Amino acid sequence: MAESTATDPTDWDGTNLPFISSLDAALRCEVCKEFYTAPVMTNCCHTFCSICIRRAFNNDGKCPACRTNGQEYQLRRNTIVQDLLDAFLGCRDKLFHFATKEQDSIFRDERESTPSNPQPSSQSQRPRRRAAAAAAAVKLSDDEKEDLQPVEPAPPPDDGLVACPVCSRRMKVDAINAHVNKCLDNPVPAPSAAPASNPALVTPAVRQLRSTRTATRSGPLFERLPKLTYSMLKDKQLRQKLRELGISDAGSRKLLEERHTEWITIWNANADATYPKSKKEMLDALNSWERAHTRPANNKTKLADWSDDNWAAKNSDDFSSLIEKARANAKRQKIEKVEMEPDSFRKETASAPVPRLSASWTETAIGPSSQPPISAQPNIRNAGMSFSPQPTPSIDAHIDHHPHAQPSVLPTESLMGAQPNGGRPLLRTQPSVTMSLQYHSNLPHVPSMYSPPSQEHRTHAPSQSQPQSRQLSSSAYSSASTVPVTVNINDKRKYESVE
Amino acid sequence: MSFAVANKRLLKEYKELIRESPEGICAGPLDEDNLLEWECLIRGPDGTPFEGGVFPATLSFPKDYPLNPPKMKFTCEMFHPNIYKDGAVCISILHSPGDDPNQYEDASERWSPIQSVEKILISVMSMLAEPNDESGANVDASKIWREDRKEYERRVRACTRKILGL
Repeated sequence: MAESTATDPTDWDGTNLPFISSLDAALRCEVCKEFYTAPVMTNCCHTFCSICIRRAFNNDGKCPACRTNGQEYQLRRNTIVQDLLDAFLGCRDKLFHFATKEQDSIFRDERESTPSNPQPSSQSQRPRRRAAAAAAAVKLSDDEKEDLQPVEPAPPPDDGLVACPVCSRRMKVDAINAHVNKCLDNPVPAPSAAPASNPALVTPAVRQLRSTRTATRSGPLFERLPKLTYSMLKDKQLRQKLRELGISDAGSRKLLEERHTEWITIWNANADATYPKSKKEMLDALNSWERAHTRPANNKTKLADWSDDNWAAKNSDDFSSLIEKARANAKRQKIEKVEMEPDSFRKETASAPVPRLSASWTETAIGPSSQPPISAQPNIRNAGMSFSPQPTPSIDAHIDHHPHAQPSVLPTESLMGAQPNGGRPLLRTQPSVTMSLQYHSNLPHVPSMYSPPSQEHRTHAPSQSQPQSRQLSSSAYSSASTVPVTVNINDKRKYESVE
Repeated sequence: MSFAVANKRLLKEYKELIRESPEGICAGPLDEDNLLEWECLIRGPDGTPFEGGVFPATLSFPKDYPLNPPKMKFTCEMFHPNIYKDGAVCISILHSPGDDPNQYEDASERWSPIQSVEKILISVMSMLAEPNDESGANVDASKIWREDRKEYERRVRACTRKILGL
């Protein structure tokens, strides 16, 4: 009942038919609040969806409505509820359409439709009309009229024809006598003979439904699976059972038992269904259950904060376009590089303006919506590396790194100058230098143009060896050098001296 | 599957609460991506020392909701015999029939899959008006409630005023 998911008994409030609300509510399972799917009745006479009550019994063995103890084998299909539901769902949309129309337009519609539309549109109405027409056209014996008592006499269509009282076929008045004689001698099954019993009680749709239901209610899909006493089974036997059922036998013992229980629930609920699912659909249901079940409970909502996956998904377009642009740039610059002399390339990259360089660096790491880096190649490669959808500590490192790497944008120097050697700048600078180094060391090794100057520097070497990165971090150091000397800054000085 | 059931059912309850929620109650998911965490606001019932206050709380639903009840926790300071000092609510409707921590509850009052968020919040509202001193989640409050009703009311009013920022 996919279409019923969006509906609700309160839909009827405020319409012309608010009293339908209770009917709508009565046809819904109290556990899932949806229209019944495969309704079954407990031994305490409460009706639920088969799958809902089976899950509830698995959980605590009690009826959700009255807490009477109950067991799955006591459940019985409640077919009349299914019939009521089918009948209601069959007309719910039409009823709702009717209920939400304005009063005036309903009456206008009725007035318009009555004379201009003599042919009844609904299939269930047709036999009634035919019968009524027959009754009115030919005055028949009283006992026959009694049969048709509940039917209101409708005026026969004004087409100059009369209907045969036997087969209710319409024909000219001249032909009727000959036809009736023939018809009585040799009753021809008319396309739709006047129904013998009250047609309103059992509509053809319901009759058809019942017959198909009884016809299809056999075969392996409807054999209920027995429960297992898991404690009696060894792992190997349980796995064997799962394989026999055609479901996965992987995972821990606990998962095996849970999977088996869920499969039995899905299977047996399906056996109660009027419109059963195929085995493939049931397997899909089991898989989706397993996905949800084995996922670690993620009950922590980060309010007003960060939702990693959400953010990554939302910005995936930005990411891919940035990656595209970065790749295109990289390709272009590779070509340029080939054209250039190695010396001039080194000169140019070495003299590249540091603030701009670092700005693009930080931007790409922090905000996906910002411009892609338009700078030298090694930088792009770094930027490409930081395009991980999962936020890594490196992003934090960059945020901290930012003020030092970008002296022209943020007044780092003035900050430092205002409070030399103490207070906040000191606290901010020291960790950030370390963090930026950590970030660099996280990067995959890029073939270096410069060999690392000293052994103790080697930890930071890979990215430091890139000309751009070196420039970048030295700018960080130069702003950091106003603070007391740290281990990193010592490293840095060695590095400079080697240069 | 069961997780999908929980989400579907919660969405439905949310929709119903939006459409017509009982007076003095307001509830909804914190985040549309995670329907298992809700926030709700409960108005202090009239004629009680909680009158005039609006009390925020969170509801955390288990993955197998509605088979098992959610946990409710007030996110403001509450002085009430049935509310722990950390804000967790101790009320029979939030206990599954299996576990009965205090051995006093009638099984018929406890959680069942046919209960709903709306019913929980109505129960909590009436619990604010009429504490159950048998449970005693907050022993101090239970004692004061039993022995010195005036002092209890004074302290509750102080809490209520604090929430309102007065």
